[in-house]
Amino acid sequence: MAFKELYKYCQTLNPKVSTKDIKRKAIEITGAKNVREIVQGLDVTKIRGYFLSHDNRDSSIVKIYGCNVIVLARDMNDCWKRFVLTKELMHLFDKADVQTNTEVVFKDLLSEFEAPSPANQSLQFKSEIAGFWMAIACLCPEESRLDFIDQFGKGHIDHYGIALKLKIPEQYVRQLFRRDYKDIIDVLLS
Amino acid sequence: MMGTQVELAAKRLFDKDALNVKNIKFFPGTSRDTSAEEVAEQINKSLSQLEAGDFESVEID
Repeated sequence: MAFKELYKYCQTLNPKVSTKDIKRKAIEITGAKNVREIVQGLDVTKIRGYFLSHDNRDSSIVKIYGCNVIVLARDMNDCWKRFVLTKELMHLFDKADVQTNTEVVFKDLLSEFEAPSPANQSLQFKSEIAGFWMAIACLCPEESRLDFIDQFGKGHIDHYGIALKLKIPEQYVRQLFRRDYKDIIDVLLS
Repeated sequence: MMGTQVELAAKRLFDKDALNVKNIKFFPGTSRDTSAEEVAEQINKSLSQLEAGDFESVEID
């Protein structure tokens, strides 16, 4: 899987991991055309950002921004912008069957964000979840994660301190300590 | 049956003579109570701004 290559690359980096490096490598691995980051006045209570990939050459959006656009809400701090950007970059790795590419799956995906189903999660929704964990794995190399866990256990650092070193939202630091963290990463790499 | 904003966004994104989108993914906002209509409304506003060339290009690091 192509993500494995990005994951291995990120293991060679130290916090704070540069999102420019992640973006450059993701583009190199996937062969994607360039990705344009845009900041807009999105209502951050409703949506923090989104990834859009399209190829209608007659569209003004393609002419101005190219084929891949990531829109980020302006009212986020740098840690949030880094995290949302990285998560959305992970969708460059989306295979055809998980892409949101029809009206039907688009509407289904919106419904799942409203109220996730315990029965039939769509491939698109699963890809949203995978993107979240892929971003965490890229922004926190495993060696650093184990070091943070060790330092935390010794009482030398707290979640806020870890968030500052990684430059990620503090609320996601807790996820680095999950008992099933390695299982999750293994799924992403399989 | 989805609402007006969802229908509008779906047409703008997926009609062959519109954007003909290959993939769109989202990062949810801070409110868990956000409806599909509200997300679609944000997408529609954002697309209008993109089409109008109203943007601030950045490079996050």
